[in-house]
Amino acid sequence: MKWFKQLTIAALIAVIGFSSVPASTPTATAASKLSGKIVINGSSALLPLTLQAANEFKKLNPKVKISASAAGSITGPQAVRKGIANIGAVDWDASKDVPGFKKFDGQVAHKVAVIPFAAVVNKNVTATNLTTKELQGIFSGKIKNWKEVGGKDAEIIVVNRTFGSGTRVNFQDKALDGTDFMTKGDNYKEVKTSGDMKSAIETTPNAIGYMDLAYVTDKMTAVKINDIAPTEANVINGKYKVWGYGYYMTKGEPTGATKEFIKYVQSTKFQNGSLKKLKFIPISAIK
Amino acid sequence: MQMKKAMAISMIAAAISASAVTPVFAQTAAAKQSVQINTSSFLVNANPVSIRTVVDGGVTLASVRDMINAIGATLHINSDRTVVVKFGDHTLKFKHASKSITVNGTATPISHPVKEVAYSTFIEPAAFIEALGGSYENNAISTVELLDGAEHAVWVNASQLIVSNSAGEGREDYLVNAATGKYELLLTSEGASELVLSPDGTSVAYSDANGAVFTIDLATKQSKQVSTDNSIKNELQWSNDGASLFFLQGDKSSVIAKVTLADGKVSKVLEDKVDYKANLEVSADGTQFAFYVFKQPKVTADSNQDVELDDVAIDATGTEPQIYFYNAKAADNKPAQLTKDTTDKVFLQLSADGSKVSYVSVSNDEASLGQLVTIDNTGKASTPAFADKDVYQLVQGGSKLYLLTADGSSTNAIYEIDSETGASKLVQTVSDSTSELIVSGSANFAALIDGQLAVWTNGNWKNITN
Repeated sequence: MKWFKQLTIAALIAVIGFSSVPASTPTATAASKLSGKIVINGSSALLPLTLQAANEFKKLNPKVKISASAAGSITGPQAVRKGIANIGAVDWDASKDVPGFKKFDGQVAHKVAVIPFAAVVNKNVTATNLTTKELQGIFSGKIKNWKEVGGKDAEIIVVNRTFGSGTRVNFQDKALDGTDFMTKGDNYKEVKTSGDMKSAIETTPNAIGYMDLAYVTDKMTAVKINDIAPTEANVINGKYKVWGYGYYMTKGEPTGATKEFIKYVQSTKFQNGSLKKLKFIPISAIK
Repeated sequence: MQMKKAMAISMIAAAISASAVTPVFAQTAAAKQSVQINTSSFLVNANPVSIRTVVDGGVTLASVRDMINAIGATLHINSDRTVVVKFGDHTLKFKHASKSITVNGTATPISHPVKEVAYSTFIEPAAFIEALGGSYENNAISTVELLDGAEHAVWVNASQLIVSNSAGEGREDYLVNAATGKYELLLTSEGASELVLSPDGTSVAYSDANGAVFTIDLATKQSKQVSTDNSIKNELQWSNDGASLFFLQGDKSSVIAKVTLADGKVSKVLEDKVDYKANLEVSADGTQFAFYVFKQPKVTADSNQDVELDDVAIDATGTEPQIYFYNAKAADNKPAQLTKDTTDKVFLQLSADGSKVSYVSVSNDEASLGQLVTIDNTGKASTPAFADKDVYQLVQGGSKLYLLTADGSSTNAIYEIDSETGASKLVQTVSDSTSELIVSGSANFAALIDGQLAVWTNGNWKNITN
């Protein structure tokens, strides 16, 4: 009879006018009440998600100003520690030690998305199913020609993300089982952002790189790893291992507008709506 | 506060003095007393209904037959004169002069006995309606189960809204009757965009998580896939003739594109290599576009430095959102920048003829006041129509603009702005807990208040969802 009780409350509101009846759990704050400025910096993989959420959040809270930028995951918690950002967007839990990076003391990690990562090759590459061992060989520089992995006779161009990239941390950890990357050579280049990686792979014949699945376009090929295609379904069913959580890092527990923004990004409305549309996977999908 | 008090008093007065007397004097067989049968005004599921009433011992009783007719219940009288009323999964039994009623087999006392007057049966309306699973309050009867919550709503026509709520791993969209709150499920989806209503109000469109575009006929509820293109599609907007849908394409919303419903083909309207467009607006003729561009602050960071040094700097200079206008007839991929100021900008609206845009400009000071700004499509500011109130939201409804603004200590105000003259008038007030105002093209008003959808009807805000 819950609905009946609520009906009674509704009827009461109709009779007594606009007086302060206790509210049910609100799904949005009153348009006028929340204000403040939120500065977000960090992961380029998470930037489309952050800007989409910011656009939606500002319609509900027009007095909250949001600025979002991306220069690689590590710059997120760095900016938070330095006090020039409220939220550090990062592709790993920066409150804990990970290979290559020490934890950021005093920062709190908030899961906001599941990010599948894919090894990607230029459209002219015919070797589109690689084993972990082959990927280790290619990204360490030991395998130099596509014919060594079943492709045509052409030198492999390796495109890597710069140090500090969360995509790089995840790909090294989960696709290469921690094997070190090559760091120099004529057929090696580094790019700063996911957007730069996309451009490089699309326009460089024989190139291989990696990016989050959301950035994969029809001008490149996402390769299978150990016969498993990088798809949302394969992440959820546990077959595809190359994925990580995206986090928002804050200095201590967030308050005010920052707290409400993180709540919005974690809400079922955003997680199951815009977040999915942008090819991310809701955090609740991973059991 | 004066207005609030007056409204509350008038509503109470309406509720308790709704009896129009049509006297019928009758002698009950048992008591041999004269009882006056009146005709009283009730609201049954928000619709006005006349129901016969009597006053017995100071207590108002209502006609059982009139109430069951009004709510659609069934009535049967057994050979032992037991009255049996069935409504949904509720069965109610009682006899004349009884001081209890049996509800689904369980006897329940009532405070005033059932009375027969002039061969009609009268009973306490609250006890009767609540025993049937409904609610009763001051001559208002409700037997419609309302939808739980409302996260988003859009008017379909004067009598229906589409209401959306998160559900499970996705979302459910319902068609909701604006008068009664009665609802029916329209769509269950995962990762789908919001439903956008066609200009003629007969169908809605959405894109799914794979980018495919669908339409739903609101009369038949039949869904139809109109495009298999898998690019990410943000902010679908119908063309005025209903033949195509415009959208922002890609994860960075870089391109304005359109899909033609007849063949599902996707074509580009603007490809200027500028990322993060938002709030796409399209003129009625489908050739003029307005949108924001969100620039990212410049970040300087040296990846060769020790991480512990935090060698990172963020320069947000010149990254405030700006409004752009594009005339597709020019086909030059060169949108014009209409604004250059440093305020934040929200709720962009393009006039139907594409001649001007309106938006809410939010200042950078501590007070963060919102102000309506209107500029023409060459960037010249026209009448700053409404500058004396803090504006929370801007909505376009037909040829009018509507503003949700600050008002009293516990209310917000809704103003209507004439787009041509800039003249404004107060339409009504609403709770200051309002998170969103929803206006139809023909000026029907709804509001999301504390997660419930309320509709402005007969001078009141009436909740049509829980």
